[in-house]
Amino acid sequence: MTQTAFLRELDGQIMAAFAGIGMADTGSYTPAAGGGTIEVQVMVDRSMVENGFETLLQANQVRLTLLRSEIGDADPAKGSLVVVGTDSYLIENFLARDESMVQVLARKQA
Amino acid sequence: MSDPIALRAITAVATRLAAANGSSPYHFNLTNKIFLGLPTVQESEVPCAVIHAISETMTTADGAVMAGQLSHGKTSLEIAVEIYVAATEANFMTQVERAKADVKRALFDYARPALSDAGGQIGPLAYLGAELIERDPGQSWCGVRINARAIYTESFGDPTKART
Repeated sequence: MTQTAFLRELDGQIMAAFAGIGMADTGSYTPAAGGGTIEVQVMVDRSMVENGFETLLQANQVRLTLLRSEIGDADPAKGSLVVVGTDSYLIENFLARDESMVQVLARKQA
Repeated sequence: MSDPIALRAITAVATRLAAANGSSPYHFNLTNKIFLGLPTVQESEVPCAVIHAISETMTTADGAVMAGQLSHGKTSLEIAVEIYVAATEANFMTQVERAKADVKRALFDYARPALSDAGGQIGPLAYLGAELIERDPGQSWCGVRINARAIYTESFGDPTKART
């Protein structure tokens, strides 16, 4: 087994465990580049962008964590869509990536 | 009941800042988006500015600690103005510099360096510098903090009186 394969299996198991206790959700992912909508597991972290000195500005953005084992090796392009329940999130930018997971900054659609 | 001079200075800063109404030469309309001391603001509020009183010191004219040896001393009130405006990664620095310029233009005036209000002249407002507010990838806004110092005389034990 390669390191990449190990990481993807481990992160997949962790995400499934999180989903089982309500810390992650099943949703859908539609890449902006096309290819159709697929079912994914996703973690949604809200109020992630809070910067400032005395005053913190709270941005209307969320951090989404997605598994490469589900979305593939291509990085999610800006404009890709993730839907969780009745909430739709449009991906705006990357926060972090490795061989197994991608974290993106997304904005909830009205 | 009179307001403390510190509050008058902060209010005078807010009044000056309200001149930034989005019309040339200003880039952003802050007139109705100036807040005092708010710990958080929402992204939907931008452009906006928040004024904070950071610290205050009181000394004699030659810098000694005030302990009642004089009836009044020199008070320095450090004031921070944090301004937040919309930005993209492409225009981030442009927006930062425009926001900073708006605050500096509104607050600091060579022709009238002293803050004043209906109660009269308060004291000069000094520009201490500016600091960029931390940014994250993908952030859709930018912020900059302008540091200023209001300087005025204050009676020892009566913060509403300039001099006895």
